[in-house]
Amino acid sequence: MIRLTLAQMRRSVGRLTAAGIAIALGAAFVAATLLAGNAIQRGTYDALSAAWGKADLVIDADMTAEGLAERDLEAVAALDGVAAVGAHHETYQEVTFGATNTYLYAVATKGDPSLDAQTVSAGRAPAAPGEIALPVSFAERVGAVVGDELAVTIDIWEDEAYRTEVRRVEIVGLLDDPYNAYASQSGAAVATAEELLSWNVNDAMVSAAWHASVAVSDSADTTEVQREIQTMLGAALGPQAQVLTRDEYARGLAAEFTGGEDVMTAVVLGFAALSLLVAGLVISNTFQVLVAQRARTLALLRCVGANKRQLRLSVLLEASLLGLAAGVLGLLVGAGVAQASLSILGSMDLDVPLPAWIEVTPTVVVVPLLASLLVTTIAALAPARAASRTSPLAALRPLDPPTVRSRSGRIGIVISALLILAGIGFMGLGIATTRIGGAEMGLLIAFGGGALSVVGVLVSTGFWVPKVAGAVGRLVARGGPTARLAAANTLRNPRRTAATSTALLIGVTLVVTMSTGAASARSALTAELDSQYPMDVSIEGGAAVSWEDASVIDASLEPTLVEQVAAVEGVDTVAPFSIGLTWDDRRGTITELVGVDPEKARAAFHAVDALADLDDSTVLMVASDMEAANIVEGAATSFTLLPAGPVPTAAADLEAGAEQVTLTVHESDVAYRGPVVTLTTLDRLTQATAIDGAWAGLTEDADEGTATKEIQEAVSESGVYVSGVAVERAALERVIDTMLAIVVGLLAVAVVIALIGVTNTLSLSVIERQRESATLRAIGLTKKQLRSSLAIEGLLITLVGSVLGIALGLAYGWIGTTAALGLIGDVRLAVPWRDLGLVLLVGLAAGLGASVLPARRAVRTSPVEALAVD
Amino acid sequence: MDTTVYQPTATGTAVRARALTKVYGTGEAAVIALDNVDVDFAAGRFTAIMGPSGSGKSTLMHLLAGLDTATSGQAFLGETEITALGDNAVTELRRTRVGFVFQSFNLLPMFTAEQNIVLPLDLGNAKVDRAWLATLVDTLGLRDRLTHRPSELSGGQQQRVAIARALIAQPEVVFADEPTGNLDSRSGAEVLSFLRRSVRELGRTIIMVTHDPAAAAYADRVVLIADGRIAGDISDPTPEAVLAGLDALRTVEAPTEATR
Repeated sequence: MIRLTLAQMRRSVGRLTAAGIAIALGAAFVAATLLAGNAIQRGTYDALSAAWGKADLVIDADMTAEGLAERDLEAVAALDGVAAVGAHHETYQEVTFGATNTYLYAVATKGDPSLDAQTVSAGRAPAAPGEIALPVSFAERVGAVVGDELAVTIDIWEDEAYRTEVRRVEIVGLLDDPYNAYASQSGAAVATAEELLSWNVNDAMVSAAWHASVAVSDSADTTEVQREIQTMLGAALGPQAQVLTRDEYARGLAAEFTGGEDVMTAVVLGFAALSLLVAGLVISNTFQVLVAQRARTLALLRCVGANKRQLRLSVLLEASLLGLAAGVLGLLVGAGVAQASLSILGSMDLDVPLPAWIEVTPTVVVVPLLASLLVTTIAALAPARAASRTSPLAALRPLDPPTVRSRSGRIGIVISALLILAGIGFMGLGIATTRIGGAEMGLLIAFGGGALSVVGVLVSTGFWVPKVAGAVGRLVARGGPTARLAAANTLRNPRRTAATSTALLIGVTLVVTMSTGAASARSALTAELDSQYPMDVSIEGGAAVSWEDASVIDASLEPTLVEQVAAVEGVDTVAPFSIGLTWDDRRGTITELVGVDPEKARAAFHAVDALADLDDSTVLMVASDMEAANIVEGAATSFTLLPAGPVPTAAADLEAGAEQVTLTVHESDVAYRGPVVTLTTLDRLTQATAIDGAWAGLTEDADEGTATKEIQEAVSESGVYVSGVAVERAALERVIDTMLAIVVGLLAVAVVIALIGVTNTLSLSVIERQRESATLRAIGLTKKQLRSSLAIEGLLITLVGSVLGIALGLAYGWIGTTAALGLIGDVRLAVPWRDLGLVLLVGLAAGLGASVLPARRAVRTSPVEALAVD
Repeated sequence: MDTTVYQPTATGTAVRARALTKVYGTGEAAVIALDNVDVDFAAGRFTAIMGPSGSGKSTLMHLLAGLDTATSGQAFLGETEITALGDNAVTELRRTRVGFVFQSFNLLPMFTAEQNIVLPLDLGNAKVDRAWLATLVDTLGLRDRLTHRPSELSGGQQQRVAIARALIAQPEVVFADEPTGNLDSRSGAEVLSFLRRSVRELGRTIIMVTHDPAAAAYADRVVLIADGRIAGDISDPTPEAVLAGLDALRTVEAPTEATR
């Protein structure tokens, strides 16, 4: 039987190859995902444990009462197999160099060069008290060189009070941080433990050693040493003292960051599973047709004595061989893609910690192979059953063109209807849950409902996709004889057409869901960002209002500064604002008001109509403030000019007949220090107004980073504070876009597999209809007509899959967004027209493309074959 | 039996072959299927081509119908030299000037009988002559079957639909390849009568390939072919005459075979 199976496989090698490619793509996806997961994990672990130099073990005494004592460390050092032990001490210290006064992150040397994470790029490492080595970047910033002195400010608790002392240390070396061990602190200065501890004599948090790194000697067994230290420290410090390998330590840290689970890999594996599902549909289709085509051979085998089980096993064996071969191919491709990506990323010199080589673990090999084997075999189950049902009599009957009977089933309709209804119910519940505040729970419920209904939709495709295809086909059929022929052919095998369309439908649905969700999320977040960061750049003079006598303290902005900012390239408008203190009559307290020129501020604000209601008779407040003040939209409130001298505490302290302004309250998203009024209003209420800051709006095409930096440089002398809100916003938008691009890229694999399925279906149809095509050619169908008939058939299949997928994807995208973002406020349901157009275009182009190869085969067939008897 | 004798309007030669040669394969493996054949087929006549298996009768028909390309020589349909035309021109010619009836019917399973019949006109976007369609349908007794799909028709009915399809475009000549090969003898006789009626009553020209002497006896003339050459010509054949002709072929062949 095996020989027979192999012989049959050889005969159908072309068809099997196409199906194999589909499954291999899925397997490659899984393999690449696992490898990428490994690489990211390795990179993350290395980055997280980079601070531990080349240490083999990390002692974590963070949870113990007093940390590691000197004698504990000595005892560890005395153990066999321990090459070096270094306690970890760190501190943030105020330092002064020249005119710069700043805080510096510093760690203590660990006594052994192998335990230190940074390398000396100039001078030497500190070896004695009074010496310090600085990160190159810090030294460059302040202009320090080796040999200079750095002043360290030390606070000493003495006689119930702090006393400040300045200690001068010599800069003996500069440090590079090649493994980004202290990237988040922009590098670490290094001093000996004795020096570092002398800065913090009173601070037990710094003086105690909470961590230590251990280098195990080459000849010793790390696990053995780990156990010995654990036993020893457990006795001395209690079970809270832990001895971990570097990877164990890093895993613990990573878990703190990501919530314990490797979510990213899980999500991507989910997408890979979808690709495999789509590949499964393609496989199932292929085998159905193979079995139908071999009906005569199978019947002959039954005639000569093969039993049903043998036929079934033969098909399953064929499927598993295909699955295994495709799995191996996929594994190789996946590994190749992962390695190529690592090499490219490595050569791009990004600030991302990634290993240079992929790490092939047993999981990476076994999972894709197994997945590919299982999916292929399971997909072939139904065709295998069909094969075993072949009647021996079929061998004696004249050869009928193979047909795939469409399976009817009320049960299927009922099941899918139930699934869809339950899914819709859960999605509604999810949205409702989100509305009442449980966003995470709501999303989870809605996601479950979505998954349920997707399964329902998939089960039901066999019933309604052919009908939709039929309706479309009838429309298309009006386009002439070629189109009529194509439409008729599409409908001959409703189940196969449905399965092919469905494979595409799944991929398209997911891509559109993600892209709709992202577009909606993006517009919701943009609105959110606009209200949080309405201006592109904000410049503040650090103005504070004295609550003693209402005078503005600290420097205001020079008017010339505003002009300087306006002159920076990329700056569109600058709107100065003022801050003043007044009496809030309604709440009976003093309050800060922000005054702006409405025209200028509107121009400077980033595409937001938050200032639309601002004029001399209104005050803008954020919703939360209005709620706190118990005030509603459109209500009137009044403010009164404060008297000179001390700030009043009650309405009685106000001057009689003092200037009082009544304003209408409007809700606005502009959250900035206090209620916003016009400059004119503020002038009446404070009388002495200076410019306390300015908002700058950038031109459309300006680069946020460059413009913000130039503004910073323009005002650097004046000591004002520039915050680049635009930069933050742009970064956030980039994150969303990048995430979306990655996700859509991953899902695109499923679409590619589905398109292979379309080609496969068309090729099979062409093979199967060889005689018909020949007849048509004989009675007057031109080659061109035959080609376009197949092209229309491909278009029909992909059109149905794409359009239905787009419709479903839009629905799911909106439901998902509503469930996820319902809490933030009004969800804007966006339609990503560009993406939809692209999806449709790709689908149709692929439908056309898929018909090219089969059509070439079809027209090559001579019409003479129609007359050949067999 | 209908004895009306139709006076053909188109007189003369419908199809001609001149030094027509077809060689399959090259070198050692070359097989000469058709060797320098000269033959004329009269318009308005029912001609049968007969010969043993592998004699080249099907090849001759394929070349005359423009389904296959000749190695050398010429084939004419009326005054058109088919062997000189490109694929598109030949396809156009097959659609408008030639009809086919196949042994295994070759109807399109997804179309109804009527759709199958008008398919050649459909493909050329030509208008269906309703009167002619009615004549064909009535002559072939298909009136009640027009909305049926091929799977709902008997073999004889399917072949009648195929004959209607072959005649719908009023072609100059209809080629029939073993039209009774897949039918029982009663349906076969029925189909042959229809073919003869379409010549006598409808003025068509039919060239039929067959190896059945009884079928050949329905024709006005039988052309015998053996080893790729014309080996005989019988006018107004009877089954006995055809059998005798075939026997003669066999006796010619016997010594040849013995000397091999």
